[in-house]
Amino acid sequence: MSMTQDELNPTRDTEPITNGQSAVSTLTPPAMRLENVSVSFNGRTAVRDCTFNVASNRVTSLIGPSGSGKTTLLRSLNRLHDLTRSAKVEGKIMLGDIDIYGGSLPPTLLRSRIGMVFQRPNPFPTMSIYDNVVSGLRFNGIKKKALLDEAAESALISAALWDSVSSRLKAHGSTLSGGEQQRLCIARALAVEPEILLMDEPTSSLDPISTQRIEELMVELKNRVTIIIVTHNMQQAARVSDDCAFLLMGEDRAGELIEFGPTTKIFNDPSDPRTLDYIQGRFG
Amino acid sequence: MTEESSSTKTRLLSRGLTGGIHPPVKSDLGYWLSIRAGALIFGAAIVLFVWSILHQSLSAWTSHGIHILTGTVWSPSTSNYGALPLILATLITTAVALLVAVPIGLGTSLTIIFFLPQRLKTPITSLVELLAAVPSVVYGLWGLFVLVPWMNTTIEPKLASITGGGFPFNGATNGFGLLLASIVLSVMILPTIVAISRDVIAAVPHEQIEGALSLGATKSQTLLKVVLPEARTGIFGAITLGAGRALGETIAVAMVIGSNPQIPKSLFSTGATLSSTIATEFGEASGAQLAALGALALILMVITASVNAGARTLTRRALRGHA
Amino acid sequence: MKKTLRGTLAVTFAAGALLSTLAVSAGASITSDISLTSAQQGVSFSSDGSSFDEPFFNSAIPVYLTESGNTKVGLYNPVGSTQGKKDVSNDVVQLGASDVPLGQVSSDFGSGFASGDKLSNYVQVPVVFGGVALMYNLPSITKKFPKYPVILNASTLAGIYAGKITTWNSPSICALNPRIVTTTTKKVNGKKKTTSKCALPSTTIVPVYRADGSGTSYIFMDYLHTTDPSVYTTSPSTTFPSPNSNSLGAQKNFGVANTTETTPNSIGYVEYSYVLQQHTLPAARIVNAAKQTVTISSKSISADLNNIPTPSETNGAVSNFSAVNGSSAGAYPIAGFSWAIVRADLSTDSGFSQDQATVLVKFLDWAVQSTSSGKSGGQNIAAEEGYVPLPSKVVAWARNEIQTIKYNGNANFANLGS
Repeated sequence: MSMTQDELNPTRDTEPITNGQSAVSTLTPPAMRLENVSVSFNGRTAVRDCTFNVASNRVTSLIGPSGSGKTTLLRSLNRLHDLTRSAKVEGKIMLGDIDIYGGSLPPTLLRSRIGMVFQRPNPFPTMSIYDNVVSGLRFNGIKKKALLDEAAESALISAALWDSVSSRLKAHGSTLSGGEQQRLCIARALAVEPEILLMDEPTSSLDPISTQRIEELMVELKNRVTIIIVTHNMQQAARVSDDCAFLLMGEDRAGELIEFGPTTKIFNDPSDPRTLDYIQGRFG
Repeated sequence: MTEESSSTKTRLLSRGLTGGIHPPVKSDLGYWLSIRAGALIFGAAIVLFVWSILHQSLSAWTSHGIHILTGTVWSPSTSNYGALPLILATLITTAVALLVAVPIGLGTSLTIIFFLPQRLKTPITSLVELLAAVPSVVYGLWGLFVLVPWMNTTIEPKLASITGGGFPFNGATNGFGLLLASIVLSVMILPTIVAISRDVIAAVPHEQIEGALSLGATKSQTLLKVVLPEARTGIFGAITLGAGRALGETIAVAMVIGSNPQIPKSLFSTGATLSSTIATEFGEASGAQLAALGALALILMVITASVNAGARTLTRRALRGHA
Repeated sequence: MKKTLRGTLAVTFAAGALLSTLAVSAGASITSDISLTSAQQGVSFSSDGSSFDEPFFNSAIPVYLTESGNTKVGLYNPVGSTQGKKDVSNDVVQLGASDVPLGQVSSDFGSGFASGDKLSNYVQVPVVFGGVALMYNLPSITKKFPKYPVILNASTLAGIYAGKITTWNSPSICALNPRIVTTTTKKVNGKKKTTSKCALPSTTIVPVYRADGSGTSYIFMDYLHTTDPSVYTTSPSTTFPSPNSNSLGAQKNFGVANTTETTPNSIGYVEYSYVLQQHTLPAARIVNAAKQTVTISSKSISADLNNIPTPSETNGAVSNFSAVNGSSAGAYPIAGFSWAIVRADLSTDSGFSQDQATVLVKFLDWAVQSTSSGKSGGQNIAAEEGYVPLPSKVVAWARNEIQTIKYNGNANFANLGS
């Protein structure tokens, strides 16, 4: 994995934002619980022993240097590793009361409850903007045009894209700019109305202005969806996330969870010296 | 980082290749000249080739005129040179062959890429590619000795019972005919379709597949709604090449189609294609018959060129949709 | 043992022939492949043409050339009669073979022939006399009535191949086959009464014919048209018209034999040796001009030979050569000569030396005789391959013709004896 632009040139060294919701909520049950989650490929462990709760309607960020297994961990949450024959996920991942690897929830159903936005915008190039947004609904068997129209509009509004594309819904998704394409992908994920939205470095290929808009969007969206974001950009983690998990590559090159807690605590008063080193930029 | 540099390289490369209208710098002169000379020779060869076929068939066109295209009887012994039965048989066998080979070929490609364990991919792929290396006369003999009896006793009666003896599975069943020719052709064009479609399907970015799956799509939805549409221009190309091979195949078709030119009444009808007729009759033909065979060659060439042009238009139209 | 080996060889050759001709006719350059293999330097002479003659030439040429101490044997290539004629015209081969003499078909000396070529440039001699068999595929009848092959006559054959008789149990075929019946015995008023009914199936006849041009087709059409011109109206040519929509075209004798074998209810015409050598189907018995039912055999094919008029020749044009519908007792009626065509002056083929020319005419002289200077001649080999030795007056005529072949203007330059 190569380093991103942001990491090399931290252009925006703004103070970490605290947004008043930093205390872990004890009132609502966690959206997801990870217990001793390990992922291995061909018997080689890539990330191990991750145990933490993802709180509902908050943004949880996964940070850490390259190779610390952030993305690997994220992809285990919607069973994307199923595609890789050599991959093995151990431990328990609970979505509410359901063990997602337990067999009771089919992966397709799981993925309609846990959406995902990728590092590079990946709208379906053969589909129009409209078709892209409703593609998830169509995959899930919804055919009624009125329903699709309504969902498309609402998802595009949520993704702050409606105003700019409402007049050209039949245009191809690839005609949009990079930032718009990523918001289209967010709209596409939101249209299915997932409980959780996984975001894998969603702004790493975008310019600063587009990045800012996506960040603003995340903060708006958390009222209706729980967000888990992998980011290389610590300022971003500080700006948008409420909780933060810090991963680091261990001696056997497997990623480990070093510390988990409210973002303000991780950034201002980490309990582990390695977290402090990373936050202060001593390695990574 | 690596992305940045590789895209720069691509840009430089494409500039180098497309910017050829400018006079070349001195060091490139040899390269520039040899490319142009090659193109010129190639173009001249094509012109000469078309002209020679035209010349060969000229007397047929002047003496029979449009009747060659519209005439329904091809019978050299009575000086009847109507190629309509041959044109129809050519188009029908090619269409049916594609109808059979395209779904099977695409299915094979998708299976190889997405469903086979790694250790089986190479053997299965080389097995399919082996089919391309089999000489067509072997397909003909296989059709003659293996498929004819089987079609005759099993397949054709079964198909006829499906439609209750109705179209397109009506008429006498004796194994030989358009259906068998189509089946043999479909096997022959399968490796072409698999080889090309496999490459273009494998080139569909993994992000697209993950994007679909993460929306709750099943594997088959992902393949049908995302992967295949994205690979469609390449698949078009595969189908066009397959069609080209089917249109032009001679020997295998000649051996199984029944070599009995007639306006087909069903898929069980015997017939003869343009190319199989040329192959069958060329050796013994002279005079008017030879000219008429030249006319068949010209018709076949026009059909093949039209298929290619049609496919190119479709591809361009499909490409225009997205940059 | 010898027979089996020859049979195997013939199958191999026939298969090779089919493959090579198909492959060759698919391309534009018809002859280059052949000349590469058979006209290599030092080979005495090259030959190709009719597939009717293929079993004969490919047995006779090696025998003659090795016996005469010549080891450079160029095998005969069965590319078809018309191609053989064209190849000899273009000096691709020195011996072309055709089931129809040169000059009988309108397309001769048309495109594909050397420009300015004409009939008087050639000498043509009959080399083999053979019969055309009708193989049929009616397994149940063959099994039930093994002793009674199906009988056909001129008018039923004409009807079948004109597409007018379409079922096996049509009255005219049934009438010819009184032995192929099912008999039922009933008691009527205390008396036993036996009725018999034609056992031939009501299935559609599939006539198999040569889709490519062929001398075998010419002989068969000659027979059909000579015996029943009112039903079979097409005059003989090398291209056989498709009888009807049920019929199947096939390539070469080999292809017709195989198509007939794989297609139930079919009937196909092939040179007799193809029935002898490799195929399991029975041949139909034919009613001849003397109203006798005849089984095809070397004996029946030859029965009328002595009544066949001797061919005559003027300026290269051969006439009086039709041999179908012989009226002698026991004569099989579908038969004909096949012809070797060589240049009247072999020196006109530049590069063909007098030594080579001598080998060629000596071979021809040997090929048309049964005994040649006390030794076994080519016609004995023809007999082994299922052809019929030429009758003595035809041999005499042919040898006479061979002696007119010149080299540099000298007739009988090889000093052939009488």
